[in-house]
Formats: sequence, structure tokens, C-alpha cells
Amino acid sequence: MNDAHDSQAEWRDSAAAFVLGALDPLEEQAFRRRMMRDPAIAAYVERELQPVADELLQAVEPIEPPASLSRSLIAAAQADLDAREVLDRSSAHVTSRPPRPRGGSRGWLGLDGRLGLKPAIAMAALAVALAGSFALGRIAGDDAGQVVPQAPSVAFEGVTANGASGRASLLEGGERGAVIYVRGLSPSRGGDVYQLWIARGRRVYPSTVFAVGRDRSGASYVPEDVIGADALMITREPAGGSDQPTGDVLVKAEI
Amino acid sequence: MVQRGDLAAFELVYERHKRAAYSLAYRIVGSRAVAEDVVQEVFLSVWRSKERYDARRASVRTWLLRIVRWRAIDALRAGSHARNEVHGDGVAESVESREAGPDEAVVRGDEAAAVRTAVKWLPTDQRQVVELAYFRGFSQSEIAEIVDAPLGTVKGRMRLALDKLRTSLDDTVAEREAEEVTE
Repeated sequence: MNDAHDSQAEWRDSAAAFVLGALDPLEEQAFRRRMMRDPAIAAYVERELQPVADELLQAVEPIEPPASLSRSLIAAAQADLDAREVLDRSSAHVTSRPPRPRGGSRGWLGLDGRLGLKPAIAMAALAVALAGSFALGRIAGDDAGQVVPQAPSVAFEGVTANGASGRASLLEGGERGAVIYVRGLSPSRGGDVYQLWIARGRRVYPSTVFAVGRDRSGASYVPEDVIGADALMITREPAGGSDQPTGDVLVKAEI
Repeated sequence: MVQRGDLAAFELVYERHKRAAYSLAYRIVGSRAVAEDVVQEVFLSVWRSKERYDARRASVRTWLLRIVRWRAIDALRAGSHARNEVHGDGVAESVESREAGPDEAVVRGDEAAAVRTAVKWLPTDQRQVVELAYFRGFSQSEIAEIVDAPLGTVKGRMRLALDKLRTSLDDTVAEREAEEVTE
């Protein structure tokens, strides 16, 4: 009787910790296995505890999000939609680095680089750029009209990569994010990537990574806000990117 | 519709749930900029169909808020700053002074109001472990260290807290059903 009682108290404790997300990974795995073995425990969690935890999520002080969030989100979704069409016509490849920790003196919470948007927008920009639309400091033309609508841009110039050039164009009037395009760089090999760095004062923040194809060009979406930055720089880094530059600055755009 | 790439549907979903999502994200990360990142990431992930909604398991709002919580905790862990701080005024903070909009009206159901009230009435040590686990992402062993209590005590506090909240919720539902019958 006592054993049964202790056992029930034990799994009820675990169930509470489970729905609150407080179990360590191994404990969580073990508890999930236990739920699979015992439907009564699974039912208790799903019907009795999980609804309470779900209600807790809504029991917070309501705060109105900024209107700019809605605008940038819808613009990004629209850009994604547009980029899908471009992607359908494109065969180039762009990679992005995985999500990076945010905090301290460096880094942001990047959008998930393995997903479609950044590569999609980058691909859209690349396709646009290859079509010859990078001109006069703006991305223009029908294809780019909704992807990067008349965005101000800055030019990359070669530092150690002679002859390399490119452009970074802000999205949505510069509210947040940009698209970069570079050419004249050596093709990516062995998993190496090119990485964008954003300089603000004396600090340099890591940003998106991308590949350069055999045509020596590459493009990527930059999720971070580049407004107020002093310069954008590109280096070559190991696969996945780096937290600090390890390679020479190949091209640089002074803002 | 969203998963089929209907931008209007996506916008509607965002408008309907933006406040709840942003409020929760801010509640966890304590930074408007990071909360914006979290919300944008969640909705774009939904838009790109990475997150699959299963109507059998939860409402859209619940599903979205679960994702927001995961992502916000991830952001909090990655930043590691201010993880021990309590942002805002806690889950039990009253919102009675605010005028409810259409979005908030959905949020502020009887159950949510009951939970807010019930959280207020939890003993401090129980409210603390819920806060640290659910809104700060600490494991029970970490919480035991933080509050300087045996692990078993922390486990018990979590269970007791959820049991009390569940009872309050059940009472609210029962009262509402009784009112509906008498009406």
C-alpha cells in the first residue's frame, strides 16, 4: 500500500514538473516513456494538468505589441511568398547559420537560418541581382518590387579580396533586416562559409552566413537591424559561422 | 489557410493572437526587442509551415502560446541575462484597469481570470517554483539550488501548486455551468 502510494506521489510530482517544463532532459524522456506505458498517467497529464499550464500562458499582463512588428512580419511573409516564386526559377544555393545565442556584448536572436525565409529572400535578391537590377543604389525592377521595395542600400568594396564588390539593401525602408549580395569572391569549399559582420562602434556582431557559388557570387538575408551600424564586413569562416571573425575582412561597406 | 500560403489568413491569425503572444514573450524575456524577435520568429515559423498545427490537441491560441513559451525560454537561456529576474508584475497581475479589445476578450476567459486569481492566492513558495520553472525555464534541480530547498520539496511544491490551480479552474467551470443551468 505504501509502495503504491509512494509510487503515485512520485509520478504525480513528475507529472507536475513535466507540464511546467522543469524535468531535466533525461527525466523528461523517462517520464514520456512512462506515459506511453501507462495511459492513465498520460490521461492525467493531458486532461488534468496540461490545461492548467496552458491557462497560465494566458494569465499574463497583456501588452500591446508595436505596430512595426506587424508591418515587418507581414512584409517578411509577403517577401517569402514572392521569393518562393523566384526560387522556383532558380537553382543556386544559399546557406544560413543556425540560430545564435543572444545576449552579452554580441549576437542577436537570429531567425532560424535553416528555414525558408532567409534563403528565400536571399535567393530572391540573388536572382534579382543576377538579372541586373542592382543599380543606382537601389534594387529596382518588377521582380524586386515587393521583395525589396525601393530600399536604400550601401556598396561593398574589396578590402583583401581585390575586385570583389556587392551591395546591402535594407528591407522595408530600413525598419529591420537587409539583403546582401556580393560577387567576385572565391567559391565556398569544404563547408566554409562567408559571414557578415556588423560593426557598431568598437564592437563587431556576427550575422548571417552564406555560400558563394561557382559564379563567384552569393546572397543572403540579414535579419538584424543594420540601422545605426557603422559598417558591414564579410569574412570567410568555418562551417556554421563564427562568433568572432577568424578570417580577413574581404569586403566592407561603410555606412 | 496559413499553411497554404494565404497571406490574408496569416495576417488575421497574427492580429487575433498578437497581443497574447507578445505579452507572453515579454513576460518571459523581459525585453521588448527580444520579445519582438521571439514573436516574429514564431509567426514566421508558422507561416513557413514548420510548426504544424493539430486541431485535435489544442486551440490555435494555446498552440501558438506553447511555441512562444518554448522560443522565449530558448532566448532567455541563450541570453542568460536577467533569467532570475521577474519581469512585469507576475502572472497574477490584475488587468482589470485595462479596456479589453476583441483580441483580449478571447484571452480573458473565465478560466484565465480564475487562474490569475488562483495564482495570486498560492503560497509564495509554490508561486515561486511555478515562476522559476514555467516562466524562467529552470529545471527542478536548478530550482532546488536557487531556493535552497531539497529537490523533493520543490517537486512537492510544484505538484501542490498545480493541484490548487486545477481545483480553482474546475470550480470556475462548475460555477459557470451551474449559472447556465439556472439561467
